[in-house]
Amino acid sequence: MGRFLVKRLALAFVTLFCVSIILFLVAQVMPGDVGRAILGPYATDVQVRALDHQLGVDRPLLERYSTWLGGFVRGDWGDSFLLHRPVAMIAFDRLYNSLLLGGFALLLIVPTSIGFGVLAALNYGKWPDRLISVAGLSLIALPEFVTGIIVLVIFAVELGWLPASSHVPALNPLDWFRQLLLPSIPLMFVLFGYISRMARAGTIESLRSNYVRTAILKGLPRSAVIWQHVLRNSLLPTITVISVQTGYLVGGLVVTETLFNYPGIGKLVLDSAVQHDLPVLQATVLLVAVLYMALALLADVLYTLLNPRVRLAA
Amino acid sequence: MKDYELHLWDEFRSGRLNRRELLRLASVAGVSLAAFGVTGTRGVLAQEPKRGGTLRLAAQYPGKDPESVTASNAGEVFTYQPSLEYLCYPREDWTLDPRLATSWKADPDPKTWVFTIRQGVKWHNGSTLTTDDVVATFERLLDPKVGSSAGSVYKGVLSFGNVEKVGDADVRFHLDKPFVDFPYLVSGFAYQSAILPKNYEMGSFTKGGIGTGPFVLKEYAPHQHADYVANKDYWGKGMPYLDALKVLYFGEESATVLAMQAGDIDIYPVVPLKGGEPILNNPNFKILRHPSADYRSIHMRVDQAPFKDKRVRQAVAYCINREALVKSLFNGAATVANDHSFAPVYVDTQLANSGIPQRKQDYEKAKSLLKEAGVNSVDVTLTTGQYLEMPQYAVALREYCKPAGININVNVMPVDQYYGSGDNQPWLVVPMGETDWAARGTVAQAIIPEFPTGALWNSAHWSDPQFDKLFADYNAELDHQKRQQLALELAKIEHEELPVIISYWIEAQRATTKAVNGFPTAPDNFIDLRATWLSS
Amino acid sequence: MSALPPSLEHGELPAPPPSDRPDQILGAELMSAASLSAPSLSARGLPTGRTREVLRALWRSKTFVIGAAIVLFWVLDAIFWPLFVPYDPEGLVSPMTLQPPSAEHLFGTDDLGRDIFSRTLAGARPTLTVAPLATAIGVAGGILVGLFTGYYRGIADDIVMRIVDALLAFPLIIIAVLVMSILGPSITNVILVIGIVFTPIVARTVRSAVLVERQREYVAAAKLLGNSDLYIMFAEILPNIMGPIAVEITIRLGYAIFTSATLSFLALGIQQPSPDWGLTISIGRVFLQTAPSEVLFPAAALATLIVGVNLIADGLRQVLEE
Repeated sequence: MGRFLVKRLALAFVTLFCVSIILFLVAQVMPGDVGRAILGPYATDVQVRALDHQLGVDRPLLERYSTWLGGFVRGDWGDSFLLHRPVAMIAFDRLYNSLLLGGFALLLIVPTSIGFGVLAALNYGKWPDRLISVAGLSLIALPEFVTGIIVLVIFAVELGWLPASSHVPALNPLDWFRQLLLPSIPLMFVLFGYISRMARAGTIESLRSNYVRTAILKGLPRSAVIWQHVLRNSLLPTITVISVQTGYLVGGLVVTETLFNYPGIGKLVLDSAVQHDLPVLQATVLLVAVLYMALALLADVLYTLLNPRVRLAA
Repeated sequence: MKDYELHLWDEFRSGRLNRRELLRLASVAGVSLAAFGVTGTRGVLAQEPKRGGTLRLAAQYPGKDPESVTASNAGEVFTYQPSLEYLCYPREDWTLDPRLATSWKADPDPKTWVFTIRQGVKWHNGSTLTTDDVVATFERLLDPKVGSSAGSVYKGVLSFGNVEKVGDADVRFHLDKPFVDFPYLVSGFAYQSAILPKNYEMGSFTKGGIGTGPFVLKEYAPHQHADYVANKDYWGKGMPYLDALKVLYFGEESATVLAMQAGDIDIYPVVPLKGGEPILNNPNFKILRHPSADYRSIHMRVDQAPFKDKRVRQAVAYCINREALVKSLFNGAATVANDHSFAPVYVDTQLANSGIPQRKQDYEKAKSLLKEAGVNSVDVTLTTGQYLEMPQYAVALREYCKPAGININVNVMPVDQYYGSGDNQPWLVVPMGETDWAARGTVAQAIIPEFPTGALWNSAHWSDPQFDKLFADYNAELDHQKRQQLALELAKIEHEELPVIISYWIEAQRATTKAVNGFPTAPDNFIDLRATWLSS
Repeated sequence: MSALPPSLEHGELPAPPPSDRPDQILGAELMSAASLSAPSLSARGLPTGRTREVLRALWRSKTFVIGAAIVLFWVLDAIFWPLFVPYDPEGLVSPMTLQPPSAEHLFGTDDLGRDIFSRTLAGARPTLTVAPLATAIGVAGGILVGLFTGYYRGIADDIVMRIVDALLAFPLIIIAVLVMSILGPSITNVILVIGIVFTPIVARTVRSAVLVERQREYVAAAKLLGNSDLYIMFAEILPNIMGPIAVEITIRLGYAIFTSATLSFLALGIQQPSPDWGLTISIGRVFLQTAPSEVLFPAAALATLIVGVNLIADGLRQVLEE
């Protein structure tokens, strides 16, 4: 287990290093002239040079990269052009808001989807199975911005039950539902399709496995078998899916936060991209990548812990 | 000024001025007509204002940290106007209400103006407002080193170093040339001219606690919200009525429109007429309508191909079906304009509006103008910002111009990028651009930034010595009849030379929930919340 | 080594973390698709027979046929819409804005008085231009990278895989937003961005399939016969992994449609006055309550196209797994 962790961590760091290089290339080398990219085609050369100098992009590439990465590691992410505040402060503030939203969505949708997935598997081939599959597939086919607009208009505008622009909720569960339910629905719709499908597949597989058959033959009550064996084994692939979906979730946050005017990290990425606030954009995207990899790592560890084959071998 | 009072009175009695215009002119000049038994109409309060409550007001993202000195977009203006005040402030009928100044007068002629400062006004930190603060505010706006966005307002009217403190009560403005409408340039209409403390440090407004206004800024969270509490020591008697105020920021109009419909917002100060239909047509909201002079200018750079020849510019103007635009873009909440600045809502503009035939869609004329200019077809890019109905207008224009052989490629930029800042202002560079202009207090104020030679926001790069000369005469002219005549001549030049196309004057429409009272209908683009209250 | 999850023994991460949606689940299933298709391919000469068999099975698959019919409809529409739209989709054809469906305007009119029916039909073209081209770029790049790294392994493989991992660490929309903001919104840039982001994802699938294939006898035989590496990669291995690649293409296609629409919605993709669906939905959203046509019709069009592509992917996978 220890060796596995070390190896995974080392790999993750190598990958992160590559991530930072790619990001640097995209944001600072690809546009050719950074000052020009920020100021746009109508800025005067004098302005562009002044900004280039201010940003330090008139220095050699390698030096710029090391300064930027060094700054990032130390937590010195520079200041936002537009908001005149330290980037780190803004980014973590927004990250926290997004974690609330994403966490809320996962908390609601994971048990629900697993429940429906298992239900579908237990009714394999019968109408509940079909219904759940069709529902899952159709929800996947609707882009978040379409479902988002529709729930917004129905529940906020037409019925007026929930706000159309969500604020960061106060520390009480009622407010969580009030502020976060609508923006998390588009995320949940898509996740539902994937997680329930995975849970269903996992359940079917373990229902067919020898040890479950044996357990049932031994006369254990069916519900106990399902709880003890089937559920745990179907959880395994589901965890994989969830960890991988986190990446999607971050992408979905861009859309849903924009739609519901929620001050999260996805909206920060979009705003800073639209307004060419490069320091914010660069740092935020790197932060998202770090977060994403950390979650993938966590999922791997969980997977290893839960996988009986791996545990037994250890 | 006795002469001017008499002049106004004569004009009024002879029927050449109506009561509304009389009051407005008198308020600008700072004269009282009480001697003639005329006083301003004071709105009778139907109900006793109810105290308390928190009001939520929607604003678009401020482009940068809000601050009056450098402000250039509505989000910034809506953020500091609850806290900061002006020497005077426009009322709903565009007369001027004394605020931090108690009175003003042209002394001895409209080249020099004296403002008397209100005594005993407290800053939010407890210190007292002085004439030093007022002088420092204007020097800051005028100092070229500071880079205030007010340059466009004062250029050619007031220069750095010409604002003088006269004792503890008065401030004297020495203008570059006579300017009859000067008080409008220190009112809310010159939104940058909010009074700041003498020792104000640039960029510190958002730290909070700065201003004399009815609301004290407590917290500013960029791209999220700004929170204010009522100023307990406000000088205006009994005001403000609200306990607190929250300005909520939105990145785009669609999100704002949906939030208003969902009941997240109490006041939507400037409802886009295009895209705002769901609110404007919703009986659950109070819609405050007021004729205004908001317009979009389609500028065509006169110093560059393809618009060097004014006949090409005129050809574009003849392609436009203005009646249809007013209908499709605004559902009728606008009036057709005739390619000059003299909107009917301003005083002294009747002649300018009746004296020039209305330009209408005429493809024959457009084609023959192009032929005369020796042009077969025109290919040009029209650049604009993603804001209000501007993209739709641009698209409509493109369609109108197609049949005449004028091919317009529409480029819609994020609005803050389109306007940019400093020397990087794409809208001032592009060969053809569409720009949103808010109504001003007077025609002169609307013309100053856009039309005179070398004006800061002269995006068409237009220069006409005859226009400049007549405009100077206009600003120095007190006589009402002569002003009308000058206005007609100025309008004719704009209409003929066509640096910019002005197709319509937009009505001001703002929306509030039914619970909001005492929120002024006009002028739009500004907010004055001191007398606003919420009924339950 | 036995303490590691089995997949790690091949130098694989246990949970292949592609950055976006469909392949998460499908990714795992794809690997089995690769191995499932293998037996019939172990002898040379058989692929044509196998192809015919697959085609026949596809024709019998209801899922595939329905999906293909839907997609075919939109493809034909994207090509031929100018022949049968009643109005110019960009023209201001009616002074009456935001009208409900009527005989004159089947889907009503939008906020500028344009015909929504015409716009919905014409809106297929930008989408079906962007998505196939982006997919083509991603698949071509992915096949190249996947073939080489899977076939040669070694340090180059390790390095390339780290880069692939790194690219996969950016959620698709995030990297697309980043690049579009730097390059500026245009249809070409949308195609390039999506194509480039797809490359590592496809590369991963191809590589896994190649890893399985290169162990097979026919590859060893080809080597013994003295065939060049390039020949073996492209003439021997590639035809044998076309199954998973075909599935991957359909999945990518669905994604490209999705992403392009999302970028348009965020105003970072296709720009006004294009009748692009994502863009139209973005503009029309404020009218949803009062005049829902402007959103609902393009949304339905977009959803059916995505469903169609997904059905093709599902059908293809089922058939290949049989």
